[in-house]
Amino acid sequence: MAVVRRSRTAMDILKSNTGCISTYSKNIDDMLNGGIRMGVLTELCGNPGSGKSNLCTQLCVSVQMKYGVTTNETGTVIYIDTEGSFVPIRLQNMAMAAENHYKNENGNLTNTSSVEEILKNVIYFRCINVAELIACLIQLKQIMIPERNVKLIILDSLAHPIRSIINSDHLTRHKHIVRIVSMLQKIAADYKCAAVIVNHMIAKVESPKNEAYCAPALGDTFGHMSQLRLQLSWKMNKREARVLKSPHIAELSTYFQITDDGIRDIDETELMDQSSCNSVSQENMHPIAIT
Amino acid sequence: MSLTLNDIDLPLVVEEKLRRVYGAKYSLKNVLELDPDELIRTTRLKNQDIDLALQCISNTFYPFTRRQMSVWQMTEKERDLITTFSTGCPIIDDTLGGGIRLGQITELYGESGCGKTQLCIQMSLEVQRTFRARGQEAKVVYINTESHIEKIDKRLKHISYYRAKADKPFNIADARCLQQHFFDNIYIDIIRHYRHLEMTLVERLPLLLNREPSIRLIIIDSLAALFRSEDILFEHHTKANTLQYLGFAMHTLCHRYNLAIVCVNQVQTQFSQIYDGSLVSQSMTLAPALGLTWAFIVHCRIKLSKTENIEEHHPDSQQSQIVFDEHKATTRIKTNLVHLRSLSVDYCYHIPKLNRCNYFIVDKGVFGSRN
Repeated sequence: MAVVRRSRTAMDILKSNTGCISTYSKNIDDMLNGGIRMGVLTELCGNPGSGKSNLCTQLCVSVQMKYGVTTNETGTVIYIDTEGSFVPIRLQNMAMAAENHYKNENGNLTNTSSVEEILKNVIYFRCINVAELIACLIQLKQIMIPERNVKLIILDSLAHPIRSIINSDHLTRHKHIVRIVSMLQKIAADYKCAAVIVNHMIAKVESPKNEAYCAPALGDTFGHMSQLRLQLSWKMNKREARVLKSPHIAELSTYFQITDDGIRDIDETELMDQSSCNSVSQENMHPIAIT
Repeated sequence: MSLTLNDIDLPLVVEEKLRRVYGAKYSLKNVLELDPDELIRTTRLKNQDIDLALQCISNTFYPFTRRQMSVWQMTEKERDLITTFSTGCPIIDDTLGGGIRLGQITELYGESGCGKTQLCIQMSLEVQRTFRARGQEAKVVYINTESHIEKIDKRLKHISYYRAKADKPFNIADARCLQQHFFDNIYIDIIRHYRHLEMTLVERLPLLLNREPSIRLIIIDSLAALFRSEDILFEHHTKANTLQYLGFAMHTLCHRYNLAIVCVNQVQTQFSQIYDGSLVSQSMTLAPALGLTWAFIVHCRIKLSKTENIEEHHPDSQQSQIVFDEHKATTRIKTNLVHLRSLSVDYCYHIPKLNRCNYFIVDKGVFGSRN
């Protein structure tokens, strides 16, 4: 019995119009041609305090504003937390701010308790090691039913459980990374939802010049598996988002800020300050040599 | 205590094969961490059997329906539980977004003499009070790695005396009893080697926590001292690996027993080069010690630093200073002054980065200042 697989042309893919999730910062959205894409894997890396978890939480809110609140469906988000840094009040504040913003722009929503809806549609899992993470991903298919309409899966910190494996060699880590990321990629592609993985940074020393720089953790294999690699950092007291790797976006960078309401743009006038553009960033690490 | 292949329920054929290859006592955690190809190869089961087995094992190891929670349920739960405890002063608590959060690792770093140990001692008394007001008695584990245990003892006696007197102002005997009660709730240990700390976190503390479930705070005074003494030589990667191991052990403890861990760190100087046109100048900044690996493990990093500012007319202080004003050629005596220090949040998920406040240290403890 032959299995017939339908082939798609490039025109089909162009017309299929996969959606994007806004990050609520126009600069970042413009840089990414719309935002975080559905159906593919995005990687966020950065030093501690650069805003990775906050950006993930902002995406939780913005995907629901786009696919849930305004169109009367439900857009569910799955948040897998391995580090324990998630605090629910932050999501609540961001949701309230987004709701106020929407009300100011478009008048009253039909659904008056949309903050409650937003919070109810974010499902939170806490996994403390690799085994729990794998068990969670294996069972994730139970949630991917059409009524739930999962639009976004966030894995806050793949790097933490992988680096915490005791007595491991590179091969074991490599196998785990490949297994977990392939599972996520498959789910993202099958159900057309966006997948975001948060990564750490490691300090490397470049031997000929003996200068230290930061590079994303988890190795080159993982570097190849994501479709978009975004690095968040601090440059001269401003937060910067930079595209490190993408097949179809230019390697640009832009500035943003994190307020009590979430991720927002920085004022245009502050962007014009070019005078001290050569000074070292706050973390005293030179920018990455893109290889 | 962990789940093994005995605890799952599969069709008999599949179960037989799994048990034959791995033994009935093989833990489910290890099965999940195995490569699926290796599972197929060693047990010679068909693909759908393996899938079914993995589904079943995952469901037993990490019960999906019980573990998932919507954030709405989490916010409802947080209203009834205590999630943060006070540091002893409402101004400092406001800066920290409510206080020190349970289930997270907080780091205090600063130069020597900033008041890190003082703040830790105050926190170990305050956590008892927060929980006492809600009906539980919280206990504290204080792990000391530097050698001044007498200093800590003396200071602890001091601050607890003031607190006990504040709680029971009319009866000295009651206050003394209360002070002794405060001491009884603090477990102090002295650890001098990082391997001892590893063993404590992995073996001794879980035993203690099982026996005393009301421990809510673990203070590690000076984690950095374990890695910086003269007789230990660390290769770069062994230090990072050790810190990662310690950090993972701390995360597991925090999560499983719902406690807060406060670590004290030291500073190291970092030289940076500033290119100013054609000149190259070097500037020195103070950065936290212990490196980038440790930076990813802590949830909340608090910086304590000294400032040049002083505040006058504070009732708790007895110091005074003579100031000579050159412009007006007069001398003035500033009385009752306290030296102000600065507390700022370096990073934390739920606290804005620009949160900072001034604080000072007097007899009664560490308090924030509104200046």
